[in-house]
Amino acid sequence: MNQAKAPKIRKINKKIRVFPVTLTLFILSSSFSIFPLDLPEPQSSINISGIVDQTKIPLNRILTLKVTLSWIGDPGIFTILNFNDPVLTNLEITGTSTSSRTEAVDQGIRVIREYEYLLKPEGLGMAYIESVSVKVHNNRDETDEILQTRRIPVEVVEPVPEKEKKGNWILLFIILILTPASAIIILIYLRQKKNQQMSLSQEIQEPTEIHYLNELRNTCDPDNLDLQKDFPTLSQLLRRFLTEKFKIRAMEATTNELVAELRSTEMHENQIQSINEILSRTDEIKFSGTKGNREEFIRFYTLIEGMLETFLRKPEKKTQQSDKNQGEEIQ
Amino acid sequence: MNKDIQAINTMIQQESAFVEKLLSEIGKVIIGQKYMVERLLIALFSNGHALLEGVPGLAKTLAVRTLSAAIQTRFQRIQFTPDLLPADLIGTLVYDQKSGEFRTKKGPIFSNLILADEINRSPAKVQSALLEAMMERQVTIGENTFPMDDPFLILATQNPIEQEGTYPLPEAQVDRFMLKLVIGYPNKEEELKIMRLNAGEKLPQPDPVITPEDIKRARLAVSQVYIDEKIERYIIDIVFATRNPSEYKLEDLNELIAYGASPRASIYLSQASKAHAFLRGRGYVTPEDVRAIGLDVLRHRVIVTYEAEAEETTAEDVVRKVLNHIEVP
Repeated sequence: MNQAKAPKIRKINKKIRVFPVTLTLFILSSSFSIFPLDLPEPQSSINISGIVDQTKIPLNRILTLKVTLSWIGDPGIFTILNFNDPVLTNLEITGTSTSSRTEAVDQGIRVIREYEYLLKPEGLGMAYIESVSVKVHNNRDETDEILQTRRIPVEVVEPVPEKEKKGNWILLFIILILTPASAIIILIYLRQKKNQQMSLSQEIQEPTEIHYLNELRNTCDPDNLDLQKDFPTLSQLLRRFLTEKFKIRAMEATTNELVAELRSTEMHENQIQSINEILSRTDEIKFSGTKGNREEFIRFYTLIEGMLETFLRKPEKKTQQSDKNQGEEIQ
Repeated sequence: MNKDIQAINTMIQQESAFVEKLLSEIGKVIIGQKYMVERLLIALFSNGHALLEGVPGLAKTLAVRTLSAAIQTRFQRIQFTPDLLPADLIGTLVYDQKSGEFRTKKGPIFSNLILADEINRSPAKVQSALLEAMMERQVTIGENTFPMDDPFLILATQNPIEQEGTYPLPEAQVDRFMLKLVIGYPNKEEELKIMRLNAGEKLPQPDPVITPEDIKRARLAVSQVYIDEKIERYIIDIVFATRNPSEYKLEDLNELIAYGASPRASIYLSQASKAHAFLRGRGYVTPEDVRAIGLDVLRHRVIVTYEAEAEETTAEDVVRKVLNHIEVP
């Protein structure tokens, strides 16, 4: 029984011997953390830091690196001698900017100089901002110091869809919808305006027939005739009227050509024959030295006057349609 | 009507009475082709010459032969070939061994109606010999000058196809032809008649209608046809419009016309219009006459530019546009 208890007693004795050493070591370590060592203060109170706005950047986006130099105290304590661009891997600088500001803190004034770099990834994978080194001069103790930022890793990932493109499609869609719509609106507006003008001008303008009737009555006076002049005048007036009424080249066509052309319109045959008779006879008078007589002239005058009045009475469509009665009236 | 013009009108009606009979006799043999036959008569009565252009087989030779028979004149057909010489045309001096002297042997050109077939197949020297005879109406062989017969009418033909190896007539020489006629195909009915007519053993022969003396009288009558100043000015306007299109609001033709019509155009247009009026039995010219003959007088006198050729615009297109644009008096 005593032999069985012996190993246990030896174990307990061993623990009792180790405990004071462990305790001493614990006390020593605890007192060291509670009461820190009195380390010497750094020579310079200027700090540098470098931060990026994101550690994972799509290939088609821009990364912003902000390097900040700051110190507390007089802004003139430190002079920045040299600020080197960041050493980059898989990144390239696309833009830079700097700013300087101060802010009040408990210890006095904090001077902050910020340097911002816009960095564009060059390819997929890891990219690094190795370091940014800045050389500063301490004006108080006339010493130079080189500050460096730590290495910042950035992961370049697959490009993301461009939001702008989507916007373009929407813009294009809007344009496609708006352009025809606006064109239609403008066309409707112009048409309305034209219609208004046309109705106005129709109100103002007298019918072609009235114009030629007036001209006929004003230029040829049956009571005071100069037959040598009046026959050609009659022919000219008739040709001008036919040009205007039927939109044909009556002034350039010979009598036969004109008659043939009138047959292609829907003018009544009797009217065409009357025109043929008038023009053929006036041609003869004009080109053969024949003197027409007064009765002949009065007959032609009446024929033309009657024709104009008939056209005036009949609406546009009916004048161009085959209408036998019309021809009979002229005869 | 002015008494003089009335007298002219009456005279023309009398003198032109044979025209219908003549056309009818020619029509016995030549089916259709009224355009060509009328213009041959215009050339004959206004003492001009005509250039006929058309594909083979359009009765050009037959028309001239028939006309010759109907007007009782001599007819010669000369086939122009590349080896033809001027002497083959106008004649030459032949040494007579018996008399020991040179004797003049007149060529086929000494006739009334000459058909110069395919004139562009012969070189320039032969063409020149013919064209000289046309204008001068006389031919010099050795030391002797011989006047041409009267009536003397040259009808030259040109084939618009097969231009390879031909000698196109220079513009200056083409200008000497009063008319250039473009002969077209007959229509279906006409062709049917032609086919039936030629199915017989022998073609009908025209009866003589007039004599060369009648032709001379007709020419005199044509020269007396009254042409009013308004018509003369109309002709001048047409010719000038081919020279200065912009003056007549034809600016689009400026780039298309290299050379406008020569004064010969005005002369021939006036003469041909009179002859056209004569064929219609009228003693005065109307714009109808000018328009009817205008294209035939002008189509070979207007030279179009390279730009026009590139646009496939022909001189005929240009003349047509001018004629359709100028206001009739």
